[in-house]
Amino acid sequence: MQLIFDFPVVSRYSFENFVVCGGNRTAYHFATRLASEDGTENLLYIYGPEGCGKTHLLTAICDRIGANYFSFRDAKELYAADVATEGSMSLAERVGDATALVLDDLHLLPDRQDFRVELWELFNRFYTAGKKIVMAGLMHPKELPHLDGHLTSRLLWGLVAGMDVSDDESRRMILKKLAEDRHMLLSDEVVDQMLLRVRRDIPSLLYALEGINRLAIATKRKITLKLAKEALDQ
Amino acid sequence: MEFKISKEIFLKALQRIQGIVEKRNTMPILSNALLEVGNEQLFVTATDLEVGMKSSYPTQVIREGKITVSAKKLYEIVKEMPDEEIHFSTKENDWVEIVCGKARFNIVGLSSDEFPYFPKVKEENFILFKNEILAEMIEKTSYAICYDETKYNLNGIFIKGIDEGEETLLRMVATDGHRLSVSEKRIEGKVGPELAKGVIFPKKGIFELKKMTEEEAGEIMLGFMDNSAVIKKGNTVVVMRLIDGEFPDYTKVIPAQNNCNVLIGRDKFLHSLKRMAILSSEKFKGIKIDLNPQLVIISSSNPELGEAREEIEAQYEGNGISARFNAKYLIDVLSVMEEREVELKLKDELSPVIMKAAAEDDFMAVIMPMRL
Repeated sequence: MQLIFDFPVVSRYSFENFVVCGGNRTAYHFATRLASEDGTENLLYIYGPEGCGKTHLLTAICDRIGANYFSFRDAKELYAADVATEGSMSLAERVGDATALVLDDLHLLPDRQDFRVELWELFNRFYTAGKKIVMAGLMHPKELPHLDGHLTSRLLWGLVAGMDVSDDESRRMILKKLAEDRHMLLSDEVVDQMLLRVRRDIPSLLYALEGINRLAIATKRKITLKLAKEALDQ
Repeated sequence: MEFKISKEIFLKALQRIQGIVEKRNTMPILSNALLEVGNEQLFVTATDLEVGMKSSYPTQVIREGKITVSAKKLYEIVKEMPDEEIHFSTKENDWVEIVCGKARFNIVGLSSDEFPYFPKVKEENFILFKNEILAEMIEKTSYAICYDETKYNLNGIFIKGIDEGEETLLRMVATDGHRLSVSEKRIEGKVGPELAKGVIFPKKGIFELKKMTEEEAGEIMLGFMDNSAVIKKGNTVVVMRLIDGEFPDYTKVIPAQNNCNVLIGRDKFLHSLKRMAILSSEKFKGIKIDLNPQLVIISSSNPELGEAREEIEAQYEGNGISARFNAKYLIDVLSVMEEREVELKLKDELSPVIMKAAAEDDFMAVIMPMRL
């Protein structure tokens, strides 16, 4: 079996290449409103399952308004160094004097009172300064496990949009976008086959797509229906 | 239109565009060559909308005009004509008459109105290259180009210019996902924004460029306009559309921790690989390389045929390592290297190997191993 290079995938997240479909139109609309210069909206929370495009929208907003993006996926790395020190201020330090507060994966906020306090203070600092705040997570603010109750109700003051891309048309469009990020040409019949065979969530589709790509490169074959079937069988 | 031209010149002009014309016949006009005469010159143009070529040749113009005719048929006709002057003229309804000696052909042409527009080239911001430099760099990278059209960002050579103060470094990179080749040369002149960012030349354009470097001596001029590269040499201009995609970040796959360095004679290594590859499987060409102090053992086995093994002396003082590779990939690299001594840098069984000339740093190949 020939091994292949693991070239890094560079995903391009902008408003222009965001795949707008029925289940994410509201979130997209809210995000562009918030990112517009004359926008009156200052607070947005978007939620939805993994792979539905939350990070894409948050990154696009950051690019448009020149803010820094932070995901609680990196919370461990952020807090690891000074986890024992008093009132770890590292998130606040990292966000610093940014033009906006953009935080992703809020559901991964660690279950610790000092983090809750820090986030609450950060929120208030940006809110009272009239700066924009955008957050995202897997679930609705009320269902977020470790969030401060005050913050939950504050988030509900702003724009809140759910994202759902579980219908076939949305998944078809998203698959094409994921293939484009990987410079793959994916025919409709391959997409159909994937929608038929693979679990409905986007991470599973992405995993299948990577499998097809790897098989095509390793065996130097075109991405055809036959090859896709072989990859999915493996 | 009407003109007279020597067979030798006409044949050369038509031969040059044979690689350009569209062979799949999706648009009939693209299998034709556009012939234009005026100002004692014949202009021959061909394009497949990806790569276009226009050349001029001295001719005796009797009546100015233009027409398109099948590039392949015209070439075949001119090739078989006697070595005399050829008389070419257009008749009514786009018919063309070609007379040479006592041979006379009447062939059907197509109006030039339908022929794609060939951009006017402004000779601004061109950078000059020596033939040999481009020829060598293409030779050392083009073997690794990916031929699978569904991986379109790999269907060419990535070319980048790096400004280093007084000097400029030109780098070419190609990969098919299994192996990667990187060639670098110092050039004169400053690079523009396109080369500084890096562009992907399509493989068809690369092979045309290579042919141009191999024709008569001279310098090649390179410029860019509207997502295309413009190459000019003597009386020929080639315009090729650059690949609209992003080349992968190849620097991430070049290993930095390969500390097992082997020095081995190129010729011995090459011939041994060719011998050992005979017994490897047709499809994967897998051979095994065992590194031992001062000794490299190359072997292959095939359940249907048998097995082969060869020992080669080499300079190596590290630990024993075994790794499997596609013999063709190693042979491809050795075939484009002229240096006598080759350096291999390995890490372990499943990590890529770096191959380069022991004495030079302007070329490097990285090859992924095979797993049993």
